[in-house]
Amino acid sequence: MPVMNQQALTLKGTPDGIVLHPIASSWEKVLDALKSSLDEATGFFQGGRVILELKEQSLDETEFQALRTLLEQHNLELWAVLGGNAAVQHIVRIHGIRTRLPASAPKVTTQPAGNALLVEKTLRSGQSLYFPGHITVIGDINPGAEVTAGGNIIVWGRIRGTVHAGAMGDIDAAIYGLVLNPAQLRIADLITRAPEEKQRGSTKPERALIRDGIIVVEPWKPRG
Amino acid sequence: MTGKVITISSGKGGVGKTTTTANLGLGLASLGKRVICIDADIGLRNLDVMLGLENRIVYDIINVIEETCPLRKALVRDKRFSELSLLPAAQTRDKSAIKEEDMERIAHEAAEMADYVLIDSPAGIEHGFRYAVKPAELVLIVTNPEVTAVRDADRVIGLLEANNQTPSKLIINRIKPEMVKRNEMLDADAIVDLLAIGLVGIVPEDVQILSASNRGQPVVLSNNSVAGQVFRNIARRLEGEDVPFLPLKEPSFFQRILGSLK
Repeated sequence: MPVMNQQALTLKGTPDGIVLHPIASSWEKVLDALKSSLDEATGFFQGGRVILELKEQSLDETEFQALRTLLEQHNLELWAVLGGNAAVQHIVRIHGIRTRLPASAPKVTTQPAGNALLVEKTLRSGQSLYFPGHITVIGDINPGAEVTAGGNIIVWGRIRGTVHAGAMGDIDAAIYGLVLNPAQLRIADLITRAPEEKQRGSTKPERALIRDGIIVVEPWKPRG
Repeated sequence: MTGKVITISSGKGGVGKTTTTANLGLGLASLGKRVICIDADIGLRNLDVMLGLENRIVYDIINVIEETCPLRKALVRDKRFSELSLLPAAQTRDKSAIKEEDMERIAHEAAEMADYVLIDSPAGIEHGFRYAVKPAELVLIVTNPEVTAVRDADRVIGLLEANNQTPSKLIINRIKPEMVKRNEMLDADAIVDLLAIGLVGIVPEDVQILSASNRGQPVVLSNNSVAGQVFRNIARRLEGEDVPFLPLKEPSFFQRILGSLK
């Protein structure tokens, strides 16, 4: 579910990066909404790259710079600007930013060491967390919350929302939780959902990973 | 000493925000506290009806915001407790007529005259919710033992944590002990476990609540209602008293017969 901010914009985590769709016609409104989204999600998007997707909106040099500055303040990189008219594309190219995505986005298979995010809070309904590396959460992932990581997701708590590990295509990524009871589990391009019958009763730590092309859930035991 | 500003909110509609505001307002007033209730649901005015004060309204919150009437003059005094008064919502306007700063200014002015300012928030998480929680020192989250209501409560708590860092406490409304026992309803423990905030009251389903609201005589005024007792206990907990939680019992055969005779 994309993060909406009073319909001024949408933000959506994708394998290529965070896609920003401005909706409001006033650029000032878009920036205001973006700022409050980023503030609300303190640290959640950190270190990510942003793809701005424009429709017919026009953007001048100052507006473009204001966006870049705002993103930089939140430790985000403006990675690509898609669409927009010729004038916009011109400004974007001057700044050395790509105007189209590479034919196939690079699939990350291993995560560089030290590339991880630690979140010490419970993620509640409607909150989302996106990080290109690994994510560790000390707290619960409540129903209605979403966590997307390029690498592994480790939760010292209960997973009851939606989690996506290896979001950039890493089929070796795994999801670990003290209680694994998610609405939906995603690893790389695979999706599985909780059984319809009843909530799974297990309260033992479990992990989910891809084995022989399907997502399997198994007990998470100390390595011995 | 200024009073404490408390907003009653829920996310989902119809879970009992206005009922809670009316009962806590009267409950605190019966303890001798000066209370001002503010109906923030502009365009869907209800709190006055529940308090039985509808026919006494002359001015409303919009008059105060537009400074056509001072706050003191717009307040409607309760007919039972002189300590309680109501700032009614406007029925002929909508929520865009109020800005967050307006609500903050009015709530702070009201807090100068009272021990408690209770703001009855509109449902939803949009503008009406935002201005209602803006001045609050504490937000009471009302939820029902339903998955959707709990989900929305979780969303509201998340927004409060992210934007205002306003502390929140939980009231679970309309618990039916016999349904919980049959595993057909979420129990209070499961809800508290998920939402992870302090609990100040568990209100059992009580037919008297509805009839009392319709008569404009909230259930807290009735001595033979369990729900009324629960609201009196919540009022005392807000006052800092350590009141034990009432045991939730399913009504016995005898009580059911007695109830049907009332």
